[in-house]
Amino acid sequence: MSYTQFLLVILTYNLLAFGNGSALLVLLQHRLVQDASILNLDQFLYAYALGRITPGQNNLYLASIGYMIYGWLGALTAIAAIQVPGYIVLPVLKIYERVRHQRAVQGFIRGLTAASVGFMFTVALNIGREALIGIVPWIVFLATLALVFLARRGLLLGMAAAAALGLVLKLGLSI
Amino acid sequence: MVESDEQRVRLSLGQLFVVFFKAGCAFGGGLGVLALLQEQLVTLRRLLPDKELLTLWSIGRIMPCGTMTAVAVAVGHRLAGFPGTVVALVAMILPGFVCVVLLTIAYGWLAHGAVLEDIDATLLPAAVGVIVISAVRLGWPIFRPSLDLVFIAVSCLAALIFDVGPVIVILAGGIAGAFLLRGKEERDE
Repeated sequence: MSYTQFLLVILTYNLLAFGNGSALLVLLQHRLVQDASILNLDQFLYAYALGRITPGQNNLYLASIGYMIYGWLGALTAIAAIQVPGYIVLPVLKIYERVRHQRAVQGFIRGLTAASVGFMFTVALNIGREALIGIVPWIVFLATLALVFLARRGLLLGMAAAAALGLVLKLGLSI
Repeated sequence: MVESDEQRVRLSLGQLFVVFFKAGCAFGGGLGVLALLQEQLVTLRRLLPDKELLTLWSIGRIMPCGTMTAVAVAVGHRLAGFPGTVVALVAMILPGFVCVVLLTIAYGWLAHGAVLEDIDATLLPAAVGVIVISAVRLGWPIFRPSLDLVFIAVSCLAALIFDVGPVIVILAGGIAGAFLLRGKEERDE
């Protein structure tokens, strides 16, 4: 696969998947691992795992895929290819500003917003079902809530402190 | 909800970089980043009303790109014009990008060890906590007895039980809202 083809694959699949990291995963696995065989499954899954354990958006795992194939240039290109389509939002917001006073548009945005909040809880439940297995993950989860809500620590500090506590507990239990 | 250009608060590119860099340090994917943005932009700096951030995020969800990419472009443009879009995107991506590439370089050492599993097992639960906090904080203005609550419950159940994709759930919510929620805002507020 040439460099240009790689760039086009990332651009097109990202648009098709609406930027959804998991949907993109299925398409890319098919194209890069099965069809083109430029990555093996181990490398591909490692890249995806990195997206979960590193900060930021989940789809940054594409930087890992790009790096494995074309080095730094591939990593930068892959990330640029998934960020550039974000500019579509600017003309959309321009149109929204013009029509936002219409009652139907207000209702649309209100419905959109409520459904988005519902979707956030779905994501939390889905990740929770996968991640909250065993006592240590539950302690980490509850410690995060306690640190942020009760101790009023910032989110980053709360998250880091709770995760560090979990790591200590996990290492302690495994000794 | 959305102010005119003259009324809008502006932010220097340096300040914008700091806000988005901090947000980009959050774990838990896009929702973790959103939680940090909410803390920085709404709670601490009062640069945006929470409803506006939630609206931008909802619009971002139905764009054919990453949701937080669209949010970064929208907020960057809102607070610092076109250069702000570039600064917001670069700052938000930088922490994750550097970590991903460094860990990719270490593929040979880490791929078959238990280190990644340990990190996954402790970071993910913390990320779930942050996502719950984000949902509660952002949804707070609409958590009241109203049709909005019904929309929240129905969309959550549709995604959970019927496994409907996020874009469809959220778009359906918008279309239903155009008919059922039109003109209700003035009365409710």
